[in-house]
Amino acid sequence: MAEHDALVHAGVQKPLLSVVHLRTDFVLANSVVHAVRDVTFDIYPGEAVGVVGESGSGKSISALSIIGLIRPPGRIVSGSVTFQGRDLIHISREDLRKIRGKEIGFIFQDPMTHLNPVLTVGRQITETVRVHLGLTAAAARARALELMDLVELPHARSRFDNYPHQFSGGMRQRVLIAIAISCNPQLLIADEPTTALDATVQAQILDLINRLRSELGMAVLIITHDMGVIAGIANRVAVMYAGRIVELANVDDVFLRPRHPYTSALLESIPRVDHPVARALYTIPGQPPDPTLESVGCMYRLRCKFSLPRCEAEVPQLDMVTPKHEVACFTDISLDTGEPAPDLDPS
Amino acid sequence: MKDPQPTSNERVESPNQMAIRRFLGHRFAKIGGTFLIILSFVVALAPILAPYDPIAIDIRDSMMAPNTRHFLGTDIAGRDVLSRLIYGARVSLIVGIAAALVSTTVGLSLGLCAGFYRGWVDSVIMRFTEIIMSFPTLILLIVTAVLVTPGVVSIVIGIGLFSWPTTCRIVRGMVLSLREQDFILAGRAAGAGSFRLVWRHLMPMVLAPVIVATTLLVADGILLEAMLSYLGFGIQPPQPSLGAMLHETQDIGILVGMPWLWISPGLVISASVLAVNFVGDALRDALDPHQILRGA
Repeated sequence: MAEHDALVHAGVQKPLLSVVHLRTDFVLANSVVHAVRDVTFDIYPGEAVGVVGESGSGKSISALSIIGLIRPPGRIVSGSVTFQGRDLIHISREDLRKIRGKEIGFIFQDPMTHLNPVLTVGRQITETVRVHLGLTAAAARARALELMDLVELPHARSRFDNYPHQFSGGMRQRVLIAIAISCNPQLLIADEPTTALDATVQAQILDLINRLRSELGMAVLIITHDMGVIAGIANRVAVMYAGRIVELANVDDVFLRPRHPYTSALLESIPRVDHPVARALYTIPGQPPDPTLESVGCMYRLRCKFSLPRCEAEVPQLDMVTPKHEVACFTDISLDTGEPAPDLDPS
Repeated sequence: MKDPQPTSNERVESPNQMAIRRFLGHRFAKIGGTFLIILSFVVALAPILAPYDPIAIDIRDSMMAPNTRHFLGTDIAGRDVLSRLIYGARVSLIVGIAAALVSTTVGLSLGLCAGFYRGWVDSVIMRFTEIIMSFPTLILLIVTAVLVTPGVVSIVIGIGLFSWPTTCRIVRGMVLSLREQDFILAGRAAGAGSFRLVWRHLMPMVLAPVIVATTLLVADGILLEAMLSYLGFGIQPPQPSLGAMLHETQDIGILVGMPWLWISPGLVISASVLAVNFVGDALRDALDPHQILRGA
């Protein structure tokens, strides 16, 4: 990865995906939900970017906005999404349809409900390659069997004509992954791919995504609320709060040297094996802000230990504190906390 | 490092096989189905099986009660009742099935569009559906018959174009909820267009109730054709149809004096409508997705 980082910072490598000041609203009868308020980040070819944040922080909506799957009453208000030089927001629907599933694969949270229950698994895998690559039925079948082997679905041949209900959760997630990678996408977006699975299967699915990423050389955008998943897969991490990215840095920096009070609080609230059982689990006081409120000042200030008068008046913008570490906060907590940064072993 | 395999390699019944098994468990459906299959064969082989030309007049043989030469007797013009019955049932069955197919095609397409696209498309289609539903179909068909000489094609189109609202409403209702399912979003994320999602993913899911509705429409079509022809606005003489045969027995003298002219077509109408309804009911049970879940 060091070599990769060097290339990126020398400006040699262009970002695969660029999201700039993305803002997505849901216009309801008597209020407007600001699901994504301001999101800016890049993904470079081959890297894995993790987006972490609590429910309602706008992670999934950001991902859906990227591939244009925001449906009314939702709407992208402003900002740009550029994928390999193409503007995905103003592109024609037909061109966007051709990018989805072919150049950008998407995996969903719940493998139980994201497969069509009345079609066989094989049919659902072949459909994507037939649509995007125009393969014949026989070639598509061969490709589907190859994909089923690639995602380690046992007995591909005999399982081909099975229905989704005959598969376990982990196997269905493998099917969804097979569909997502069927056309060798440059970018795989995984929206909470392990949340609906149990712990051992989670680890297998993460291993699989990691392996496929290195084998196929695709970039991965993984969305999760699980810090452990981030640690296991991502090179860089974006921490989201109330529709904004509040911290964006390499995975080690985020875990070992968090600069945003929210990131640090998130890390503190992870249950730890080395803490005595009697010790109560740390929780962040307060509630996430009302998503219908216009943002005035920092959205985290009411729950923040370090809030300043300035936080009420001004929205902190994402600022580089080091070339690879961006934080949206007026206080630099790495300077004024007496506590040692939590050491979390990613393995 | 493999996921557990709950069902290993054993051959699992497909939903279709399950439905067939359940369908065959229905006694009345088997009787009805057998009757319909036999009837279909008979009408398909009408030119071979019918002993006489159904419209050939033979005054010497007129008004004969059933006998060895004419199993079901002859009418006033001396036409063989059995031959007319076979050809008449053929017309009735064709009208019933074709009308049901026309109506299902219209209802399914409009219902899928209304449910999937929602918004103004839905409003326009549903208002249109309500307008069609508010017409008294029979009276409308009679008026049409006055304007155009009725024949098989015009009756099929007439019945078909006025009996689709039920199917349309069933489909729309299901699609409205199905379109919000996660797998439709997943399909979009995989690059499927609306047309593909509607016809390849949603259509199979609404097919079960649509098949049931279609079957029941066949029964309705047969009845409606019989009614029209009985009133003289359907199939025109000398061409036989079950309703047209009854039309010729409206005279009280014939009704009392020559019962063989109306008993057999009446029985065939009742029996086929009953059989179609039995089959429809069994299909409803066999294709009910909740039962499929329970059986699995």
